[in-house]
Amino acid sequence: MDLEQKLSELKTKFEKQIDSAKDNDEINKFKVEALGKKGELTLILKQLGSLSADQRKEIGKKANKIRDYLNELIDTKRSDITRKAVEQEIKKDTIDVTLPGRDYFVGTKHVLNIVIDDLSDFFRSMGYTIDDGTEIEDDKHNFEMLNIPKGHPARDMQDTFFLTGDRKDDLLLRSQTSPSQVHALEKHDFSIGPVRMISYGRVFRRDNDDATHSHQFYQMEGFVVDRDIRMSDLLGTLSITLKHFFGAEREVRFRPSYFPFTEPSVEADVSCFFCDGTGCSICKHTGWIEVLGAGMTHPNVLNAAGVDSTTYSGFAFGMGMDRFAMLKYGIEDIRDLYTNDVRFLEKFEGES
Amino acid sequence: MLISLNWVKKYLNLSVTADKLAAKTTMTSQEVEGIIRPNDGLKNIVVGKTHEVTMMPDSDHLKLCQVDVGTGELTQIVCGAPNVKSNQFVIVALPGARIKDNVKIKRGKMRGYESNGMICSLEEIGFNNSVVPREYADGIYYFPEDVNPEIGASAFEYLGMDDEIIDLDLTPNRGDLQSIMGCVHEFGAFYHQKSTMPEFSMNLTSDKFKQEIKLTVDNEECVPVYKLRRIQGVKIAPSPQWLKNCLWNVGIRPINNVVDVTNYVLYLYGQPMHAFDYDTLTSKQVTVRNARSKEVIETLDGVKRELNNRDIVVTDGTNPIAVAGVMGDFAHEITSNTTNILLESAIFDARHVRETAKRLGIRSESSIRFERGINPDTVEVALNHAASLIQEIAGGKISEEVLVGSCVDFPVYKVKTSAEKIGHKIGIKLSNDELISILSDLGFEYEESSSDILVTFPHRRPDLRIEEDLVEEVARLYGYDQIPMTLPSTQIKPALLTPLQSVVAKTRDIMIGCGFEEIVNYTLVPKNEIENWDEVCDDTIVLPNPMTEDHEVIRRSMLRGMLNVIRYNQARRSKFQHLFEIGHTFTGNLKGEDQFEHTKLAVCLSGKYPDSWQQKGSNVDFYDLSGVLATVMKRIGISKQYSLKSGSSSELFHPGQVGKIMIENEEIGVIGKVNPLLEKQLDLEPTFIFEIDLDMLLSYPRSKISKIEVSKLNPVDRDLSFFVDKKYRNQDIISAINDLKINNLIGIKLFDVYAPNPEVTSFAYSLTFLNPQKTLTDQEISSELAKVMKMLEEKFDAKIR
Repeated sequence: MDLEQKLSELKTKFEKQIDSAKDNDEINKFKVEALGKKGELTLILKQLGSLSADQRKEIGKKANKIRDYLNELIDTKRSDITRKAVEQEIKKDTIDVTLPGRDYFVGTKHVLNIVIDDLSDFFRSMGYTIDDGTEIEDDKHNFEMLNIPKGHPARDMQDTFFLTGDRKDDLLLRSQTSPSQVHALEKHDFSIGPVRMISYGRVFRRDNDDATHSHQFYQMEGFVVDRDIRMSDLLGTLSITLKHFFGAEREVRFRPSYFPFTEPSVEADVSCFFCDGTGCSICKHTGWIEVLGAGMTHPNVLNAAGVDSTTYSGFAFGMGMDRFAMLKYGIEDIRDLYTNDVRFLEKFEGES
Repeated sequence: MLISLNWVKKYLNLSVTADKLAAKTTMTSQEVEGIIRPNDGLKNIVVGKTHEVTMMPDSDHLKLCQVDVGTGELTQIVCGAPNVKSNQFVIVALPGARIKDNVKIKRGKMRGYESNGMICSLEEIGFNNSVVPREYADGIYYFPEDVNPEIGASAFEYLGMDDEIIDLDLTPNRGDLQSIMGCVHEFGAFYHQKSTMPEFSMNLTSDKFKQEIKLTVDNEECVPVYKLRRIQGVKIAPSPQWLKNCLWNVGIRPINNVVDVTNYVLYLYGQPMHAFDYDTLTSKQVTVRNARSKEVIETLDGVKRELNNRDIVVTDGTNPIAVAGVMGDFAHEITSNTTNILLESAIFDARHVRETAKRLGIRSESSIRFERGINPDTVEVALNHAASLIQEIAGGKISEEVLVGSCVDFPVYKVKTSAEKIGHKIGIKLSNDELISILSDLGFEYEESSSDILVTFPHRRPDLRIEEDLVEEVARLYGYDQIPMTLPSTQIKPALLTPLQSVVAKTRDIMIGCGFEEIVNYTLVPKNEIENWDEVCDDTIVLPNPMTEDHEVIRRSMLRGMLNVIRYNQARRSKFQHLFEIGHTFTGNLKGEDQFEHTKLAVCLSGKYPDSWQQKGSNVDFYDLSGVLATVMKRIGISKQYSLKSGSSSELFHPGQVGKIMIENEEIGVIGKVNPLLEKQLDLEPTFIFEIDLDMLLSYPRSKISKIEVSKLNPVDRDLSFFVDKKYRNQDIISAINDLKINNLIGIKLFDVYAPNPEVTSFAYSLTFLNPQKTLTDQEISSELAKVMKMLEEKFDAKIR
């Protein structure tokens, strides 16, 4: 049998072997038998020396081709086996993807802070700093310096939790965030620029808790003082604020009002979002919902804090965060904001 | 505040509809709560005249009334009212009529007797019980003799029910609008209408009034104006119909002619008026003075009230006969027997009246007007008008003289300004003509000069004093809706958060990221919750006048309140709760200069993790929460390490599962399991809580990144297991190893802990070594490890395994 025939037999035999191989071990075994250092191909090549140069060249070429071919067979078979194994694994590992995923907790911000953060981001974007204020105040800052002296009827509007007596230095739980205006004026240096700030937090009044009253609620105060602040600046500021918060499609209107620390005073309404201004029980059939009080800072407030009211003017506005939250999210009972029912809290997970 | 438009129209030519007027008022002046139309929803209600009235056989109260309703023949109506009699002009709801609450009246039979309609009481046609005259309270209404109504005609006009009444929600500065004339001026300004003043005339009798009565006012500051008139020989009777109509349409119950006139004048001018029965004055001496401490008066509502020396009283020389500006007394009120009256018109200081009314809990028509300011110009006008009306209605002789106890001059406020100045403050271009037009609409006097204008505020507007007050008047009449919208053109600077504000915001984000839900609790909490379970301290702030026991103390910690939330939700089937609150707590004696407010973070974990289809949820434990604490502290970014120190004095916690959160030697918070006793009391699932003081955290420097280095070399872990006496805690071991300052040691991690017997604890730690510059040799690491082992053996008597 000549070498060429041997090569051909080797090829045929190996093809069968590889084809029948069940795993990589078998492949390796056949590979060693055929192509290894002591394998059949090596044996054949060792016999090349007995041939002529031409034949040697020709057979050598063929032998190399067959080796390449066999190697290729091995590679193909190997990936075949891998693929089959993976296919089996995939089949085994197929799951019901519609089963629920494991809980992964992300918390929710309280709706009052959602509202506060929204507005404070809005005001900070216009250069308003945030003044923290304190919940325990003195009568002087909560009332006296805001043009609400003893005996003023406006004190009735804000029945207050006094902590000591009700003299000037006496302490109380602030009934409004407006004392932060006074503190801001007292410490402000106008040579470094105007006052432009918001202040927010808890305020307290002697109200019995029911669906619309709470002895504790949140206010946000806005305050700007500079030379030449005009009433139109206040109206423009309120208008963009209310449209930002309640929606650009809302109409805003302004009415005269009264607050002891502003003159002129303003109340702002937005068109009712429940009936879109056509009149419903929520807006008491007026088409409008009252949302905030504001005004031009009363000269007495500026003067009391040592700011010359003939040079400087300003505006202030106060917004009830509870009311804002209730209107925006359709919350009907203010007590829901302080009950902390987790079913209520979780409603806001998309808003945080 | 109810304003009758029929009444207003006596003095003002108003051609707009009530709806338009209301809308204009809301946008220009005061908010209108609503418009009341008394005949709204009523129909087919006519004047009838009773003829024969007989008792229905077999009934003890029903009567058969033959009534002329203008149809030419009598119709029978069954009526049960005790006061129905023949020959009365009555209110008849005809068959098909609608009365109050949309009730339809039908022809029918009562006990077999035909009844063709209903004879009505005032309440049945929609009157509020509070304005129905007492003599008609239990029966039908019939017209007094002065009215000669047309039989069969609609009854509405005769009862003033064709009126439209505007309900104003008044701000406290506009006391002037608590009167018809105030509204006449105000509405007139909207429509450029001049008003006419009420007209009246008195028939005066010269007598010795001045000699017979001695009037003294002690304190002109409290009683700047005090005037009296006397009318003798009046005949007390019910008021004529027109007067009743005026009063009940503004919510006042008609009483008798004299009292009704005082109320009429009060409402017309906003000038409270009081009538005394002259003959009941024991001495003919009237003294207005401050009350004596503990002096007692029985006010005309029949209540005995104790006074103090801040109250002003009108006395008969000895005893109080009225709490000035608030309410008269019982003994001197006008009764059906009164013939001679003393009529008082005065101004009492707003603040005194306010204080007194508030303390006594009386808000009378008088007190609400004194509190908000009275027009000094009409004190005597009102007095005279009242006298004139009483004379007209009740007869009598008016003494010629007015007795004046005090009459100080009220200041006149003037403002020098210009159209340009006012326009600039509003942000509009205001021409001089526009300004002058507004001023004359408002009825303000002014003097023009070349460059400015001097405006005089009238006495009827005590709320106006300074230029800004005028700016508001101009702005609102110009129309707030006509003012352009601008933004302040001020210099803008960066609006940075303060360190506390950033820490609060960051902490909130961290907690939400960790899966916790934010709550907001009350600041005011029940006292017993603090007393029983929190640290009992002297510096807890207790309200001197709490409203309820539930809100008596200012919280010094947020934890106890949080447990109530846990309980609330647990009762609603919430088995796993993870909550946090960032808020203020308070301590202090309210005298010292100690910081009152602390900004704190409170966190809780309670119950068990939710079950899933793969596995049961486990109970939360201490280490779940202490892991959260570790994350929060790491993320807040304080440069100092914190540590836990076992134990706490607070009874809120399980004594064996509690630790103080320490930074260096300062306690910044506490973490632990809720005391099982409290858990039982509140029926709580196992609950773990911590609270840290964010203000305290802020006093430590924030960690800073100066150079980032991530080593290309891999760290090497060496494990170390050993037994120690059970008294040693993990923290003791960690601290001791840290104290050794071992070279290249970058991490110590506990991976196993157990107790082989009750006296011993086995700890197993993985120590991580890395030198970023070079690969450490086995020998280098082993020698460092040996130092650790040696220390453990020496210091903790550890048996290395």
